Amino acid sequence: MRKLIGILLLAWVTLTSASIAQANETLKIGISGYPETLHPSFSASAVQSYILGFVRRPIMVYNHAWKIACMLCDTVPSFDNGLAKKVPLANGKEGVQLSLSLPENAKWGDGEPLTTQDMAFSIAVGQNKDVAVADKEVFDRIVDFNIVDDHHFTVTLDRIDYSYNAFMGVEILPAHLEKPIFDADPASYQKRSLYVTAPDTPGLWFGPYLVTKVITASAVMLKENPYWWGKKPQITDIQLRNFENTAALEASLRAGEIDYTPGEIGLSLDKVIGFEKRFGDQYDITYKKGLSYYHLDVNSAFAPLGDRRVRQALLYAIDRNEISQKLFAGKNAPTLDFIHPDDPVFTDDVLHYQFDAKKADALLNDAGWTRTGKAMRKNAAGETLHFTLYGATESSTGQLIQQVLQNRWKQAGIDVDILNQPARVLFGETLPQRKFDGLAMFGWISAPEHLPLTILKSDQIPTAENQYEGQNYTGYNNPKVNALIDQIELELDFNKRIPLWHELQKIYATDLPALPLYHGESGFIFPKWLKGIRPTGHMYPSSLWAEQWHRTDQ
Amino acid sequence: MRRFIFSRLWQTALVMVLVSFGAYVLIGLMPGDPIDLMITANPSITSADVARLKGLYGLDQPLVLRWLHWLWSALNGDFGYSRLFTQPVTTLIGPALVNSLKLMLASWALSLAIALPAGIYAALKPQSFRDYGINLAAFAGVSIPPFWLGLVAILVFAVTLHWLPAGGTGQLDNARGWEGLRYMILPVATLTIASVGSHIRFVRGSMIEVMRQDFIRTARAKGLSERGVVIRHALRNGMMPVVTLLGLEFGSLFSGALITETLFSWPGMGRLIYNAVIGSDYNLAMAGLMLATLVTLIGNLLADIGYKLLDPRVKLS
Repeated sequence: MRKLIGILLLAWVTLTSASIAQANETLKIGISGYPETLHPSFSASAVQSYILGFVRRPIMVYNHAWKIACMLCDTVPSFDNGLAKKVPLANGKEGVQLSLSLPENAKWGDGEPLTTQDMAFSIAVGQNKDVAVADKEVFDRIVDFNIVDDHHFTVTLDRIDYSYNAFMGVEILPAHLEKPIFDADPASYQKRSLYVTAPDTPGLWFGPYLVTKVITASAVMLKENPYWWGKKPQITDIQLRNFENTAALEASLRAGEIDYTPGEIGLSLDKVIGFEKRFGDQYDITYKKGLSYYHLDVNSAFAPLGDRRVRQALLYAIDRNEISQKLFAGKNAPTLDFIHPDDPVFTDDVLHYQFDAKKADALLNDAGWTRTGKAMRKNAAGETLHFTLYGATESSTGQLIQQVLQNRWKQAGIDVDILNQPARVLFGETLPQRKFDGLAMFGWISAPEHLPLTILKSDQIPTAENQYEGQNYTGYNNPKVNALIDQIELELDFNKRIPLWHELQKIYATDLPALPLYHGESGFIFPKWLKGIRPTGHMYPSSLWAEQWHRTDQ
Repeated sequence: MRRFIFSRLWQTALVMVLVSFGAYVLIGLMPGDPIDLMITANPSITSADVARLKGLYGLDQPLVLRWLHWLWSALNGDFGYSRLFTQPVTTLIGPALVNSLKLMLASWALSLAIALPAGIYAALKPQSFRDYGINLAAFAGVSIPPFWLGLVAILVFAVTLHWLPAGGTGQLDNARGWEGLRYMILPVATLTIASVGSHIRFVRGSMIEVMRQDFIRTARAKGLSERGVVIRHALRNGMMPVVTLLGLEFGSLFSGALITETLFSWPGMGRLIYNAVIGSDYNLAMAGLMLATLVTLIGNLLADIGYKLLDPRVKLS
């Protein structure tokens, strides 16, 4: 009997060791989420961007310094280098023509050359009215496209604005594979594309890796692309595994079944902080502040909050450093406004709101909201200073923050109720229809030097009359801000835009249409042998530089 | 019998149509469609884009019209495309169904294999030491949340001992045979522990009730061995409520186990239906829910037929 048990145990250990040895040959990445599709023109989620970063490259990206940089093109066009020029359009307005080039040695994963014909096809797909590309506006702006030769083309855009040379959003598609499918029936192309029916076709991809296997909603397997023309990646195989449950993702990391979880789409910040406390000595853990701007939208239509002094008092009355320290171990530090501190247009020369109960008290008294002893504040009409703080039920972290805020405001004599709703109710009805009688806590993701046109301009206030169009949920209406946004949009000189941006930030920080909380940080958990991963903090994920990743254990 | 089955099938069809309407309308009445959520996450999306996308997904149509369109297509065998995964619904449901069946059938069979003898054994001597012991184990199984149990199992057997994989089906690593089975052990064990307690309680209760009946006393009086009394007389009668339970549980074999599937990254029907409902993926959610409804109704029909087989006195009408 003992012999039998011994043999069984030995067999078990051998089998287990074999599977661990096999695991070490491949970099296994645990992610939380799965994209709707791998077709680059449809949908644009963070998880899709992350996966596609390994297998294809955008024409341009924001680099690690948050500057526009070429990835598939040679040089970023500008009026200075002559690759951008103003051209008259048929409608009498002025547009901009950009001259761009593709690498001459660029090839698809099946060895076919990647040429301007592919670019022409991609634009034709995006501009087709029957095709539901994610960002149609990018294609609507293209009024002319000309092929110069196999590797050079010009594209004319319908207007000149501050981002005139950021030719982003057009994803290049393999005409030799996809054009016959598209031409057969453009309306059903989205369902019949090889990206959907056979995503493991090598010719669909042109990054350092190719997709070799897809298990819908579960995993994507990648292998080194033999036709990749850039730096040869050191890691030959990558597996991306989807975990819908963060506890399972964490356990798999500890069990050695996955090696790495990226901050872009991995564990939430609180989970990474907890993981670091317990196992930080066994992993390399880094944090990167991202573009998710968490804030409290203030409904200015709700009488007490229409008063700027009350909004300022609300911000003075809360200790955002306390939230950072107590809930995020010092991460998610308070932000000044909606501009990310790494953004080149950021300034800290704006009104700062350190926790100051006395200032909050003075502002509220000045606004007519006084208190006797520890009672809630009332105005001259005897009405209590009361509002509701909305949030999403799915955000457990958000609910913790709400409680801290509620407590601080209570201390300042402000009566606050918390009301959490499912995300689809909050974002589908309460916010767009401005049904929140107080504040709403949520985050939105922007881009470097992103103009908050739909968020701050007064013509973007959603109403029943305009079918709730626009995202100015706060109802903010400041003619100066409207004018500044228009000026920034039309100013082509970056150096001249800077003071305009600074002015916009100063007004925002003073007026407080929304109360800034923090720019969300993400945590990256690396094994100690994995090096070369550089988080960007913006929407272009670290996987776009995957060929730089390397192991130190081989 | 034939008439009964025909009548039940007719009722099943009617219930299916009513359930499909109810489910479709309920999903549709949830505030915020997928495009609304897209707007909040992407400040640059234009109203023209929103209108275009709503039109393309048919979200600008009245709910009842959308349901009628769905119903007509479904009756013609076309369950449409999943909006979440851009694939035909049938392509997605097939593998998920197989995965769920593997997991659920294994745990169901294992649970019954434990519950039947344990429940009978406990029922033969109620209030005895062995009855208390089995009851205690059953209550423990019922009381432990599967989520917690699964996590503990992962921590012990995957993280600490490295004996078993923490999740997945092994499909990615082409795990077959024993390697493939290793991926099933923890989720099946978790599901089994979660369900075996209630099965034991059911079998025990039913058997205790039957063992008090006159015909059992008669069987004993005519000199049958205790084994013969239990197997030939008590078990057959005691199985009637158990068959009801199994009939009701039959549907869950095909609709998966959400928590366990999520915890063990097991791509089954539970996860698929949940994601579809939350993501307003009408076609996928409807196909999943209809399948679960159909199978539950068939399970009940089979249970009714089972009564007849177990007890010839039962009349199906």
